[in-house]
Amino acid sequence: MARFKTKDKGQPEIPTSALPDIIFILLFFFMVTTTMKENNAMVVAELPSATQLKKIPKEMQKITITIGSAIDASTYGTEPVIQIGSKIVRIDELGGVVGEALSKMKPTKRSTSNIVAYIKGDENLKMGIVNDITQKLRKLGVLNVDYSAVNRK
Amino acid sequence: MIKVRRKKKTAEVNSSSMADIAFLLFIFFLITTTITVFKGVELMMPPPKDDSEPPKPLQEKNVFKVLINSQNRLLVEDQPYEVVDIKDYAKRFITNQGKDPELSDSPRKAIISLRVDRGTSYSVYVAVLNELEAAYHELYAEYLNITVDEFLSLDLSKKTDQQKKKIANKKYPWNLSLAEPSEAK
Repeated sequence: MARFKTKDKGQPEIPTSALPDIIFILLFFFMVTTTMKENNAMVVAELPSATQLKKIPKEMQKITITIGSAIDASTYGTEPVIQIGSKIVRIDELGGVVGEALSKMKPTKRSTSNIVAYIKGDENLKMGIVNDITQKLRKLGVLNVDYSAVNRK
Repeated sequence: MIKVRRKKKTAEVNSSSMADIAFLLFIFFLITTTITVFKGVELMMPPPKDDSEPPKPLQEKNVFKVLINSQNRLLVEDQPYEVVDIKDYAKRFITNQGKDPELSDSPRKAIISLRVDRGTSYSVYVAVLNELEAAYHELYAEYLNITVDEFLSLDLSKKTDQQKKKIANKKYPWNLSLAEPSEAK
């Protein structure tokens, strides 16, 4: 029987010439899909710790309210201040600002059960200011509040 | 003269390190990117007070009173308490089903009343809220036959998970009463 001489097989090599392209595509993908933070933090808040943390579902519309000490202490003082969006808001302006944010939300999702106030409060805060804010939110019909915290085990 | 013909090769750029460079860039971006996750202790506030409607008469035993004063001291059902002990007490209160005349009649009737001072520290408030949430979460998890961690990571964008949460919520509804804070700084 005739036998074909099989070619001497060397160690087969994986072609690596396309590797950089693959990695570049990955890199571009991540660069394109990454969104930059929109709002500059003007307030620093050291978050309190908790264990029962839940993720806010994506469908919920968030109003982020940061309460803490202003980075620019010379203009805003050392008392705790409130930041909503890219602005520092005084407590008496809060109702208006939140109301405006609510009116800008997508109309289909404007049922209040779909809106959550995400409160990033500094752990050294007193409840007075936090309560003023939550009471205002309550009057505006924003009943879902989420106190931002970190799990430090 | 004999010309020696040499085969001239075009110079090639060595591209073998290209992959490494790309990898480095890639890893750099991976590390420097932080993904913001919105996580926190959730709280559903009761709807705004309607002054025209008289408040519903509540039975004392169905209300689980938690008071945190401006010294960050706790008073639970008029007894001084430590933050870590609230969870078990709250669970006992919710699941009492009328056995103990001092505690709630049924989970449906059980109301958590939370009251703070203006001077109460926010971190203590969050810690207390966390313990109360933990009590409910443990009951939910037990009812759904899952662990607490599994309950916490339920994905509410999914219909099935949403359903689970609804069932649990129905069994043990979170009734919260928020009292106006006292002025103590």
